[in-house]
Amino acid sequence: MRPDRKGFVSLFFLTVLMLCTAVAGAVLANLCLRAESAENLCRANAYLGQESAVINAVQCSLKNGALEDGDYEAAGTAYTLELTEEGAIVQIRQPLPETLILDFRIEEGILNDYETIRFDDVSTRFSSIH
Amino acid sequence: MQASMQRRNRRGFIMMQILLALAAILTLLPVCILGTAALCRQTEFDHQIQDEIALAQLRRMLIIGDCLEISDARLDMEYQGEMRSLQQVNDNLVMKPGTLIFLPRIEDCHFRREGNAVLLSWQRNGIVQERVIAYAP
Repeated sequence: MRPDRKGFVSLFFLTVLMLCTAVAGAVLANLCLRAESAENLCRANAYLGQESAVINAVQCSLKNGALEDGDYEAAGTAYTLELTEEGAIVQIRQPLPETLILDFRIEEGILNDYETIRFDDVSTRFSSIH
Repeated sequence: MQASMQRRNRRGFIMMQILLALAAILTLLPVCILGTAALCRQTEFDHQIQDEIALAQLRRMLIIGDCLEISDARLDMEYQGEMRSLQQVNDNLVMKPGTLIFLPRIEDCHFRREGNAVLLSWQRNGIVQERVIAYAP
């Protein structure tokens, strides 16, 4: 009786197919994560750009002793400044809405650090950056 | 006679299976090799993305920093009331005091000012790259 060896080729194909699928899946997942990293970096740099403009203006006012509550505009970034006991809260309205919590030594005119609260809307990610 | 025919047929049948398997191996082997090579390349340490993440962190520090002074191979600034300097130490771009490494395994690095922008250029594996790291009006 002839042995039935038809399954041999199928098993081989299944093994190779699974290997190829696993490799292709891993490569694709890696590429997706890289693209996401690049997108996040692009967004982080866009935020840093506006934060830089606002903080430069705030530092300038701080050193000149002219830091007051109010609505301001610096390098195309519109923001509202509100002084607090430990520093200030800056609400950036446009181009990318976010809140900065500034911590500074007002007597010495030194900015210690700042925190950000970003209103990240995934649906407008690409349109808001470019 | 019939048994001999059966044996011959069986031998031929096995040979056909082996030939099919070999053909399949030869067809799919390049695909597997290419896929594996691509996977190996993908899992390597990616300097480009790591550098960009490090530069984003450096930009944030430079936003807080004040009184930026730039020479060719060194950047000095006041950070949280203390003087800090950014320079190449051995193969790394390091912020001192301390050893806060931003760009590892670099061959050369320079700072320069272009208008209000502060630019950092560095060389790694013979490739020179340049990025804006701060805005200093």
